[in-house]
Amino acid sequence: MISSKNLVLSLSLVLSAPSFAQTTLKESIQSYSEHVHSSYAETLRRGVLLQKALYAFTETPSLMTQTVAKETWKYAREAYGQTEVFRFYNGPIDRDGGPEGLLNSWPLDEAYIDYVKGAPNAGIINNTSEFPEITKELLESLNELDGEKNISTGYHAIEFLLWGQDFYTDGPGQRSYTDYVDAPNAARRAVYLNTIADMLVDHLASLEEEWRVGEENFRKDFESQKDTVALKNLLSGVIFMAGDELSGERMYVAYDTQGQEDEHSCFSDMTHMDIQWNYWGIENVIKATNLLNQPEVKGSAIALRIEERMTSLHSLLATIPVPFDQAIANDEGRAIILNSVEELEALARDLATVSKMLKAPVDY
Amino acid sequence: MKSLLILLLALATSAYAEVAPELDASEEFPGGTGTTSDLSVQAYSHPMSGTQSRERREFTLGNSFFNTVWVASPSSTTVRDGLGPIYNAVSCSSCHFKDGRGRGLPETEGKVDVSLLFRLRIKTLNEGIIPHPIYGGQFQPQGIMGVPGEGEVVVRYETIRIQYPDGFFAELLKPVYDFIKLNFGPLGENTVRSPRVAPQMSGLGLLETISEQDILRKEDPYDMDGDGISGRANYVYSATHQSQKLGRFGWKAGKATLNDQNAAAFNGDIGITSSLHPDEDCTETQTDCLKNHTELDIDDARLNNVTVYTQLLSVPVRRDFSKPEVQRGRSTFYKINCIGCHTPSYTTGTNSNLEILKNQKIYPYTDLLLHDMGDALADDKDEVTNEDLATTREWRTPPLWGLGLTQTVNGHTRYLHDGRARNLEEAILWHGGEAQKSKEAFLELTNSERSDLIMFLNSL
Repeated sequence: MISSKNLVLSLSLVLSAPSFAQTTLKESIQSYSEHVHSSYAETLRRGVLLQKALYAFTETPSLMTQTVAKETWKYAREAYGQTEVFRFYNGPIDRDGGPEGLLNSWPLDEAYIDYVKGAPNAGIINNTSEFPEITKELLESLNELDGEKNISTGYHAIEFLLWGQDFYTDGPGQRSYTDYVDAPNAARRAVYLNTIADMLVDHLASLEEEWRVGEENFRKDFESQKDTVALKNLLSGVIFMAGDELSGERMYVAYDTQGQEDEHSCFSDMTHMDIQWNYWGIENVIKATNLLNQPEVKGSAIALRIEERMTSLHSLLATIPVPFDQAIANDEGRAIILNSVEELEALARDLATVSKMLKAPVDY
Repeated sequence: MKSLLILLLALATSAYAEVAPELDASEEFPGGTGTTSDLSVQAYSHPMSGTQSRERREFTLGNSFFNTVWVASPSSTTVRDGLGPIYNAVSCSSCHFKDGRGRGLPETEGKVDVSLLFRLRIKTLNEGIIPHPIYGGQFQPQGIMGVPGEGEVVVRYETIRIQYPDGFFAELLKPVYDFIKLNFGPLGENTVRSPRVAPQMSGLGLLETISEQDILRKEDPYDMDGDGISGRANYVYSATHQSQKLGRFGWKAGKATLNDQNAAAFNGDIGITSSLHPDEDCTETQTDCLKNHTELDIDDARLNNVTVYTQLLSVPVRRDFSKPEVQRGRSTFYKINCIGCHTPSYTTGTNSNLEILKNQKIYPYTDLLLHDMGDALADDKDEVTNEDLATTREWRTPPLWGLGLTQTVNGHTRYLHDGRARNLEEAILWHGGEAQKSKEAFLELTNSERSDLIMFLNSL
């Protein structure tokens, strides 16, 4: 069993220590590819562990196997959260036909998948007449059908099937393992969970393949583009992650609406960590690519400011009170969240300035 | 006097052979300084470049409510409930996917796409035209639990063959709509069914900021210049301003402002009530619908977020804008007088809360005016008013910016008000009425001139 203490210790995935040597664009781009590949490889490794833990849980449902599965989900999320910065430029993750929508869509409408409070027969799992057999093909076809909240697959679907709805102010959802023993459609629920675990692994494996070195894949195309084009892409990922997706969609919307359904991992109450993992992903890219040591940027006031901002954001985000769905409702939590949002936006603006200095301007 | 008349006539016909002005560098940035350089599947989804801080956050909030799946009331998610009782879709983005264009029609005959809705009107002898007394002003196929939807719409196609003088030909598919599984009886012979597909969302705030005077300048209701093109303004009641205003949004320019448009779409398409539209579209016959009426599903602050969102959606940068074939296509676009309605450029006015929208040189390719588009596109065989001043034969010139990215963003190339055109060539060939002369001129072009023109449109 993976203890939560080990979880914290494993921290961010970045491998290369920051170097102060000057660097070329080509080196930065190759380091990026290498970093993306190693991140997806680690994410895949942890995804396979999650798949195994879910199979073990559905095979022998018990409080212990369920707890292991939950802890493994967190361990898998930690890696995936740091890969989300590779989005927003039509890469393998979110180009047309890419698996992003199948891996990480949220918020999801629980009742689309399984029973919810007040609707004991809701969801695909309980709809035996329309969906007699639960298969990968079926679940893929139902994902985002008729709307972005109709999510049938991915990390958050697994999360819901492990934790259940969160009605508790002091902790996450409290689904009982007996949902997989003697509850109505228990066997179908198990099939569902295992099927989306298999799909998760398939999708992560496809991402790892696209970034392998020396193969006919996306990485090859990425590295053969003009340097400034590749650089603009990787910077778009960093800038939109900091300045829109994380600060806006994932933090400010929840802050403003104070809606419990507007937090990222609403069943497991892990949103505070999702936020940090997403942010670490940003830091990882800046460090792995050694971007601030490009000749045009090295030693400039803006490079120093970005480094300072990253240091302060790293600790600031860790001070957001837990659980996030309560932090958005109290004054102390709200002040920290708003401050974090503003800092992330400022980081995005600074990085957009760097993108201009490097002749790879990202509109922000 | 006679010679003056001839001179005037000559001037009038010469208007129909416009020479394109020299290519201007600003044409590469159709949305002005806020033009986005992203050409990915997200091409229509960015805020105007340079949008920051509070405005960018409002955009993000609006985006969230644009994408939200609305659920039936009461629910635990009180800021996102109030769906229905009857509706077309559960979110804005289910029709405007990635802020793009709905596909409207299926490849083969069958159910129409969720992104295609129908306005319903009844022609009466004494009252003129009124919303359908039993089905209401819009056909809503879906209902929440315990409330029947109104029915289904299926489409059949009739093939129309168009022959070019040079021997090439094209086949158009004319949609014929059948309303089936009707839950409140037949629609009746005298019903006008006006199909409307979800349009692309790019640059709406810029269109809103064009001065009224610049739009009205191109009005020519009696075709005084004799070019065969009139162009009329629609005047509509603005729920936001509570007064008559120039209409500029929607397929028939039936809405004056984006706030009007958004509030009406929330109400008609999703069944979301607001201070502007406090009532649901239930008629007296629809008792289950009436019983499930909900009040003020979206408050003014949230509606305003969505409006800011729609105002800030950016326009993608031009592709291949200076390529010779694209430039040749541009010349043809002028030469055969497509610009008679698709006005290339404006400088926006100063009447906006958003700095980025003011004083921008923009290239939307629309005059925002109503034009008779001929029999083939008309809603009904009779010409009657349909939406305020707009008739069943008239459509507002749609903007053309962003057109060429429809495939990238939405995975199809369906155009016109119901998606009947399967590509840009078909879209041109459907043009009739005031566009008849330009269409005929298009037919007369050489194959390579036609292909350059399409290249130009795809570069927008």
